[in-house]
Amino acid sequence: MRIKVKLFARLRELAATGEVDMDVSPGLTAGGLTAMLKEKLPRLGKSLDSAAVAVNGENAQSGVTLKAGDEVAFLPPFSGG
Amino acid sequence: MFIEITDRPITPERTMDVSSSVRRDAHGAVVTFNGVIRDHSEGRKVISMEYEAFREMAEKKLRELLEEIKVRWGIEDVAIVHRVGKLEIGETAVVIAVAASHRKTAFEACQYAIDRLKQIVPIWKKEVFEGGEGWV
Repeated sequence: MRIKVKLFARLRELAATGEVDMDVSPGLTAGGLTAMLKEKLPRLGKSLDSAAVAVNGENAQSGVTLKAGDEVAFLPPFSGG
Repeated sequence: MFIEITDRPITPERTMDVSSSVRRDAHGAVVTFNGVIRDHSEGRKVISMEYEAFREMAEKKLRELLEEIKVRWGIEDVAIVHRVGKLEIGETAVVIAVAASHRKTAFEACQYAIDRLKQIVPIWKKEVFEGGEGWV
């Protein structure tokens, strides 16, 4: 199934892209996707570990199961204001 | 009650407009906070800041923040405008205006708004300083 990965700030720069479309197996969790991304883009490394995950714009736990068409965002620690 | 994420400068005039927009005749206090770009950070000379937002989620989180203030203090006259893009020293990154019958509530709610914004709203800044740059 297809999902969309969004990357912001440090992660976006390290990946040299803010969006990646990925083909993944049904049943994949957000945590599983994190592990996949680390293999696909090893330079994201530690920055990915400290990132929060949002699925379709809502905060999500790493155990959540992804669905086809989901937009999964990786969010480094916030620094607004 | 409104929130906005904008790539246009938050000028002193805009700050006044935001502040005026929350005032009602029943209010005795309007507290306005401006977060501005300072010229130093951890001993480095800062040149500029670049703000980035996950806009859809940031807007949603800012609305949640207004709802939290409504529940906790019973006030709805709150406005938050956050800038994105490249900002120079002295420019406003965020303006928060809170109006209430009494100053204690207005101060408290405004302080809460900026503290909470930093916790829950997906916005990031990259510091450009003399000799380099880095995500804060």
